[in-house]
Amino acid sequence: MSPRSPFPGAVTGAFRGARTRRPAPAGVALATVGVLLTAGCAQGGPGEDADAADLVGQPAGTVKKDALDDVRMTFVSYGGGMQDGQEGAFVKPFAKESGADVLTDGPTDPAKIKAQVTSKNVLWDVVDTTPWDAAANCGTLYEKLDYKIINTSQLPDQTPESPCMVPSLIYGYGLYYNADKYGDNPPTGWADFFDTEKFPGKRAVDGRPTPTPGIFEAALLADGVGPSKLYPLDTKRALRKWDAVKSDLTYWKTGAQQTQIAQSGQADMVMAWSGRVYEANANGANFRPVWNNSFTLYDVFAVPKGSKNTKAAMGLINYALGAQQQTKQAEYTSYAPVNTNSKPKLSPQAKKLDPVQETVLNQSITPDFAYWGKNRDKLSKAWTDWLNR
Amino acid sequence: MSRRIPLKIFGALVALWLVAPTLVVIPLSFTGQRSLAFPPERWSLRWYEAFFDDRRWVADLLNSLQIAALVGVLATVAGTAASYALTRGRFRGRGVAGALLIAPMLVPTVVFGVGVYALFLELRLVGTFTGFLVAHTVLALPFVIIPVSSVLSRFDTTLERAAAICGASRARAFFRVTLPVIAPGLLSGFMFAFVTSFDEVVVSLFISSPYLETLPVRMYSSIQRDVDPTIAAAATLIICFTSALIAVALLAQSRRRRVS
Amino acid sequence: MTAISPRPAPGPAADRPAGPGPRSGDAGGGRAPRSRRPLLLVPTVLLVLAGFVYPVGTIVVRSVTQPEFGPQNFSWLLHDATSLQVLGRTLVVAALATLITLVLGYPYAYLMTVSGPALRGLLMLAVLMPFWTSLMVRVFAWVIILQDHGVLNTVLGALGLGETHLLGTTTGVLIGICQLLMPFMVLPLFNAMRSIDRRVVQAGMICGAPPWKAFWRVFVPLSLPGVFAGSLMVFILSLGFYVTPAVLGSPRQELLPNALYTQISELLNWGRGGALAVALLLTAGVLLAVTTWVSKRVTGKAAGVTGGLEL
Repeated sequence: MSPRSPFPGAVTGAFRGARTRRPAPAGVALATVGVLLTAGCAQGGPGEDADAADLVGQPAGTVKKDALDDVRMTFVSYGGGMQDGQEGAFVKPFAKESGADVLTDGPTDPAKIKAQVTSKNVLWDVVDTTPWDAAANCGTLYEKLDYKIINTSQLPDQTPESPCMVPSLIYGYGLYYNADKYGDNPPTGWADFFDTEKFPGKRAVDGRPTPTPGIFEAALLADGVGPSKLYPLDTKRALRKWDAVKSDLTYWKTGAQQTQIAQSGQADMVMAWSGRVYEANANGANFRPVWNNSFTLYDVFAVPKGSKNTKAAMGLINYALGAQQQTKQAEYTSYAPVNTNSKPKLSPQAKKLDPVQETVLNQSITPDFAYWGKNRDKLSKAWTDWLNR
Repeated sequence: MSRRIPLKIFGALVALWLVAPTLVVIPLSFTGQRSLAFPPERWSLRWYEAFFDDRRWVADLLNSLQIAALVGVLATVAGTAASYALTRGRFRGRGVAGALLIAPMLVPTVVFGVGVYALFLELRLVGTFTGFLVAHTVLALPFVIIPVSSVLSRFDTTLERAAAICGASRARAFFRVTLPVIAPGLLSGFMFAFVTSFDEVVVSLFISSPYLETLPVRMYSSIQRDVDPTIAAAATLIICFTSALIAVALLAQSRRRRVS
Repeated sequence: MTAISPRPAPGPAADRPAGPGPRSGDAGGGRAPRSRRPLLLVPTVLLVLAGFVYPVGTIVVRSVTQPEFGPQNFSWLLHDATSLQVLGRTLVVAALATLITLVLGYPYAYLMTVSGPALRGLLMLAVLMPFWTSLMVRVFAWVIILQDHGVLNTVLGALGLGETHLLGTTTGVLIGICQLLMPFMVLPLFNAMRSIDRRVVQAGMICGAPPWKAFWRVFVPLSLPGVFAGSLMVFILSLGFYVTPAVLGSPRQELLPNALYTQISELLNWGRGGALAVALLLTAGVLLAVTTWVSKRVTGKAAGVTGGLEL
């Protein structure tokens, strides 16, 4: 020990051994300086927002060439193959045509949007998010959309339910099982998901603090509640039902983890988003849907309040809603388009998981988004408390 | 010696546990599927293509290298100045100053990260180059100060005084006499600082934004968000990079030994 | 920083251990007045004050001022079952990590001291890997290995040992943390052991003690400074792990840094986040103080931990 060292011996001691055999070559220093000189500085925050005049009145799916040359903006979605699909279908083409520099981030997290808005540090411009979050926080966490820029004429419902959002895609949320495992005697409904005697195996469910609607509904349906009697949700009863299978559960926190769990065989049944199961199947998994009492939901595009690029954001949304863009999105992800003129040619794999085919719509349920929006905090807390118990 | 055989086997197992697991990312990076399943069923180079085709991965790699290099320089300069004052000076509060400067190493990083986040939100430094430089330099300082102080305190100050007697100014004596002797300490300080910054993830998670993030942040969000073997390609590249550094360092060491 | 604040510095050089000749000789040497030297310290100290002390201080202050002045956040911390559990789990994980790295690191460091230069070099290289390999790379590698159909289960299956489920469990987190922290245990141990005169152990044997007894009664006590230093380092560092538990652990078995992250970056609850941060700081500080005290008691000197601080 060198008596003159002004530091705790514990700390210096940890490095003494390292020091003696840690000669550093001067070449490294030179190399790093080289990197500095050649790389240049490619950073900085967002640039100027777009000029509204360039964006107003464009048909859906188009943007004026080079209209957004100096814009740096962000697009945020739920990650994984879904986000790759969206980037391929409209983010990259938009960037190319408009000249904007579009950065991507994710996954969408309502807590992070709230944190950004409250701390006045809004980094996200276009988010693919949930209708209940956007509708319930319209004007406070989300900007009102400018329908002079966003053309809604080709949407199935030309006036969106809330002025802060337009739909982005339609998806199924339900029970998917490993066909290799259950073979001739597969599960047929939510009751089977909760029946671990008849259908042994791990189940994967939503492990996020703000769950997708359906988590309480599924348990209530399994417990014998009729689809028309679900609301208001009896969360205590639902959680008791979940209690019974807790030891057989594993949790996903992102869409990509749903894919990973199905693909790696970590669970034999997953309560998942349809497109994520499609991705798993495309990579060798063999999961099949149970459409009976599954949930049909949709995502929306929205713009967080205080975004530095609101105009450009609406321009991107308008572009994403075009028939061609929606078709590509569907073909890449298996999620259904929201443009009425969009006629995707789905692969056989994707067709099996198409959430808007007739047989699915006949037997699926649409959760009560208004109820979820109003009670979001209460429902989230109930689920989080249960997760942590 | 023979009774040490069990000990050697034990040592080998521990060494294996320290080294081997990390190497698993190398074969995985050559998988042909969009899957993290191991071992891969098919092989391809597509994830390396994906890495170099993706502007974000490459940009983040360059960001990390730039920030780490600058942090290395800043921390080495600031840390050496401080070490010199600490080891040569005699003034009240020297112990406090020493403790203060190595505190960033002992305070749990997540606490520092939260604090820096609060400060940077106020100063609008989240997602800026300056922000990363400040935060990483503070974190890297102890890793410079410790080796440099240790070299300085073993340094025979009569050399400095001899230089002074010969008429050299204090600064000249430092640059002509002290610096060459403590250079190995400085270089290892620089390396430590570089690696600290290049590898930092917790504080970076707080202060990054989509507009500026570093490679570890990207890797973290990739693990959390995607099933994407591109990260395995990135990891393999990092392993090659650091192995090359170690190899060069070892070579340099053996050459120096031969020279002396 | 409270955690390692030294005693008020005693008079200059008075109780400093007498250093070897040339070094203590510089006390009065040199032409320039000594007082000029702290100037070199000023920029660095300012940087650390502004970039470290102020931010950490802000968090501590916010723990008693957000949302309003008062101890409400600490009473939340002490009465909320979940956060108490998280605190307890964090301490248990840190203690286990310390124990495991000590049990694995002690023989390893011993092997390093007794083996020849070639083997020692290899062992040193292995233990230094964590310094060189990116944390994210290593964590990612553990995901590949620990996942349910990952490398580990394939190997166990091939050996006919059945399957384990480790990814998403605290055990998985421990495996990852211990690997990352090994150098912080092995290096101080190795330094302590290297400085032990092995003839002392031989002397014990000559006096009739069986080898294990000589080892236990003579060698082990002499290596204690290394044990204290390594354990302290590992314990403190393992309190602060965020990424490893976030990736390898389960959202249902959070550790304190993860709870802290959630409070701040998702719930924007600076007050409660601050209280959690203070809990982490206090734990680390108390630990540093206790270890220093024990180390002083057991080894008769504080040099193992803060000796150098008392200039």
